[in-house]
Amino acid sequence: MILTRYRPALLALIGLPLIIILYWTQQPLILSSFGARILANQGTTLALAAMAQMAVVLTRGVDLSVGAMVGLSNAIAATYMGDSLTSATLTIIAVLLIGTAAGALNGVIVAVGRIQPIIVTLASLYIYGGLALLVLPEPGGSVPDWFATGLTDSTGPVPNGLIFLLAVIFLVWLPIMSSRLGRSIYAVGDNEGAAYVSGLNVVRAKIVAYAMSGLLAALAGLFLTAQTTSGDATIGSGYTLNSVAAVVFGGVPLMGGRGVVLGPVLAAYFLSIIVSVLFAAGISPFYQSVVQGGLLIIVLAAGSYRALSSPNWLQVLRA
Amino acid sequence: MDATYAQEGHRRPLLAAGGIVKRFGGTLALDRADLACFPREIHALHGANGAGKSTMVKILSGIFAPDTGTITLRGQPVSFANPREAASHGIGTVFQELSLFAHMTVAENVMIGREPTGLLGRIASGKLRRDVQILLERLKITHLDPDAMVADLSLADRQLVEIAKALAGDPGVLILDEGTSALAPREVDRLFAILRHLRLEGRAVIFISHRMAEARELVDRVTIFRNGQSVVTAPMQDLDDEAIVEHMLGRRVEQSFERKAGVPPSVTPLLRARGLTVADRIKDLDLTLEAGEVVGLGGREGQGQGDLLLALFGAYRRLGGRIECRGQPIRTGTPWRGKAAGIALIPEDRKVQGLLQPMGILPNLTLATLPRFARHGLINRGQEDALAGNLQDRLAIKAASLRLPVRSLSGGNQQKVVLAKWLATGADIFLFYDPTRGIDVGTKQSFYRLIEELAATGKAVLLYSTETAELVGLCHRVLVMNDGRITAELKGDGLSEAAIIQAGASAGVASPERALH
Repeated sequence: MILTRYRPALLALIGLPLIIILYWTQQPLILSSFGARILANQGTTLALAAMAQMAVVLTRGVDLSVGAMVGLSNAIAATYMGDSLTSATLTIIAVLLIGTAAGALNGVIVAVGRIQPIIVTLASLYIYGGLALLVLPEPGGSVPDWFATGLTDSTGPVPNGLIFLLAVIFLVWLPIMSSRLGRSIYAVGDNEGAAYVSGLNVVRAKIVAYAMSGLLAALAGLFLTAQTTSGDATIGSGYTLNSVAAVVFGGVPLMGGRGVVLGPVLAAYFLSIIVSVLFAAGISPFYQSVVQGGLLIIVLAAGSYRALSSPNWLQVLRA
Repeated sequence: MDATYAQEGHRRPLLAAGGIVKRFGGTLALDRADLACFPREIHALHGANGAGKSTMVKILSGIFAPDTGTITLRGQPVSFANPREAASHGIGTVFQELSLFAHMTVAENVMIGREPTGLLGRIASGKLRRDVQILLERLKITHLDPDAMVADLSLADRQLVEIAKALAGDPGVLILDEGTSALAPREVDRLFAILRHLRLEGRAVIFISHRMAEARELVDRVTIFRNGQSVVTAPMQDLDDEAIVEHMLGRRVEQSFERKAGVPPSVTPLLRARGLTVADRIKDLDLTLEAGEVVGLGGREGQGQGDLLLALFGAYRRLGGRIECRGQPIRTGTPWRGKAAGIALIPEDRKVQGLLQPMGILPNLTLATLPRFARHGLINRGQEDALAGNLQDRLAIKAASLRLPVRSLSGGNQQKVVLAKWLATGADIFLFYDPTRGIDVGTKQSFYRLIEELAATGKAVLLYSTETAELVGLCHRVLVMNDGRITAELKGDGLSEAAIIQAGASAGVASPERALH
């Protein structure tokens, strides 16, 4: 039973070690504490963004504003953190609150206004992007050293970025997803009508999923700020589509209702390492997106193999 | 003293709905309908399709709010804003369309929304599983694995899960809306035993089922709906089956169809299928359709009738066996090959499979014949208009303009558009999947005439219907299906509603040889 549930994550589970081994043959250094830190720092932002995306995808939605929220959080953090512990802490809290509230607002519009998620979050993408430029028109800003090193250094051999990610998974994601509320998020994605007639609070489940998405995207933005030690209002733009890629690659179908967080997290690391592998192999960066896109198509085709192999045309066409 | 009060003794209803009116757009689904059930009572709700039974169930379950009317629970007026509130008042419902989650386990489905939780609201999966195990054992549904994924279950097992799910909430009132259609006789017996037990515990059961005969000994009282109104409520023993049907239809049941003489088998029937096999769904099935013949498909729902129609039409790839039209083997496996061989399918879901809802009536009418008046890929609008107008007249499709979207038509007229589309192709083998479901009585009759006309003009009709009366009235012979096989062929004097139901219910245990005489 557990195995059935984790099977979709299998691809990422196998792919990640393979890509690390491949990378290792190019750069033996990566299997050191230093290398692990590099890998973690490269992948953690996308891993958090992928979790943000997954929260919404589970409800059979999609959140196009994930990347813009990463950028907005980055811009706010780099602009307002300053040097004092107080201002930095207040800024961090503000960023997390803004992310959660903005996500919840998306959720309210989707769940109560019954507007398609793709439209709602496209609009928020523009709004967040504009707000980020208002906050920080030119790339710049700064962050306190303790913040940057605290998130990107290592504790013993373990990268802090990985500890941060695990903390988010165990303190935010798993408690919510293993509660009744989390079960109702999965239920809404599986069969919204059934969720309603089964007496679940469909509206609340959706709002919570979008709020989680906003919170996780804000966390991704904070981590990115620590990693780059500066702010750039447009830095998040790549994360939206990459988060969708990681979610799909991690075995979470866009039809919602299924999937484990392990998949997208591992897939996020996989996708960020591929970039380095291609770079180390001397392959032009222009091919990176070609390879990424090709992989995605292969994964998707493999994922819908069962539907495509159904003898019933009506089911094939529905897939 | 109030007559009903005296009749019911000193008891007061556990759940009562009074004067319920519910309107959907232009249709009045419920028109001052009443329904009351008492503690320790199994109450049957009967009515023809479209009489408003399901609407009443949905109102009692909090899915719809009534326009006017009152609901009382143990004498107290209540109103349910949503299904959650109804459930919290102790109303559990098994819905006609299943309300399960395919990608969750049996246990998770049964306990959805009422999972046992531990520290910080974490769902206690172990306890959840054990609780469900105990519940299933209590219900004697022991063959179900609590860890099985619902997506992998048969329709019958899903219905059992649905029933367990409704009972997991420990409801004071259990409502079953056709939740038993796929159950085998043994499972039905078990369900009835459960319902009796609930009655013994002082609960009430509202039971909607087409299995009128089977439920007879179970049911205490019966309410009959007709055209959105409750026309009679009486103790079960006061109404025989004939009287029930009479109240349902509002008239004495004349044999509204004339008995069909059989069509003798010929050497080259219009359609012959041999050894037809579709993985898990249709098993080595033989079938012939003669010109001028209407053949019915009966049996409980989900026994492969729909799959058979789809397979003949070409909606299944990788088909085993062979299909001949007019003696010539045809290639199968895509709908356009079926169409080329002169096979037409009036599909199950006209909204999704039959019509392009937002498009006009005209393009829907000509969809299957476009190449005929297209040159170099351009459509000749004049010819298209002429054909469409012709079809509209022929089938008497009631529409102000053929430019209106198809979804603006009534269900019956929509179904006529589907049929017209195929008539235009010149097809001579017509496969009907429950064509009159959700269609008003008047249009139904005109549909029956159309089917008879098809046969009279030398076409062959294969008709799957969930209404056995339709099968008896329209068909020369009826094939009863069970688990992907034809287990009985009924014709002549052997063809009756009772025989079809009997064959559908019992063939699971009878050997095919015996069932085929």
